[in-house]
Amino acid sequence: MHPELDNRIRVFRAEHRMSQSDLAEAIGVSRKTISTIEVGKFVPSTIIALKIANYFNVPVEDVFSLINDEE
Amino acid sequence: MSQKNCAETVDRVQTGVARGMLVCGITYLILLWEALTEKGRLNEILDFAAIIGSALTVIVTFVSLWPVIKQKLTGKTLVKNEPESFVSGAMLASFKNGWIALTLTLVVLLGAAKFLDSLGLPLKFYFVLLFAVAVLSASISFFWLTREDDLEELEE
Repeated sequence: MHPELDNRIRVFRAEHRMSQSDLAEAIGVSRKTISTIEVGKFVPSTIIALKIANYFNVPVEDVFSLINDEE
Repeated sequence: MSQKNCAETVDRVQTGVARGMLVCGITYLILLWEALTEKGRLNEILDFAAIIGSALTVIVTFVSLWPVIKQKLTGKTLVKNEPESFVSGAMLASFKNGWIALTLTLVVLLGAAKFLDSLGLPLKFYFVLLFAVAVLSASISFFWLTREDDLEELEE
């Protein structure tokens, strides 16, 4: 997991019963890109982040959030 | 061609190019070994291996780049912009790592210049060495950065 960025893509995928490949196809990226974003190896651009949020019809903050060390 | 296919194709092209670079780097290492061996059986085997390696480099690179070549020949563009991907980022990071490795090798060679002079090796040897370091370090770095880990497999 990335030390600063958390994401809930896996949760949204599960809710929509989608595979990584399905989501990748829907937003026009490769499956590897989705899998590496999910595990925090790859920090997506604003464009990809917005595309994912738009696809699930939620604000981008619901999908991506900063990890707060103080919590 | 759909955007999805394009993203996967771009990833495959980049991985194929890295594969070609790896084969090329190994071929250049064989050439270095060949330059250091006396004429004889081993030298002949290494010479043959280098020819095979050169042919493999051309084949692997051509097959990898075929989707791009086909696109250029037919004049069809898949999408306006190349889709952003983890693999493209890894390729750029690998080129950076390759540049660092090349610079470090140059520093070592410069530091050992007097000693290397006494060896009397041809100038071509050092060019081959530097090229091998550049392509091998970049390709190995690429495959390390894009390796599948257990966590990724669990997520699917």
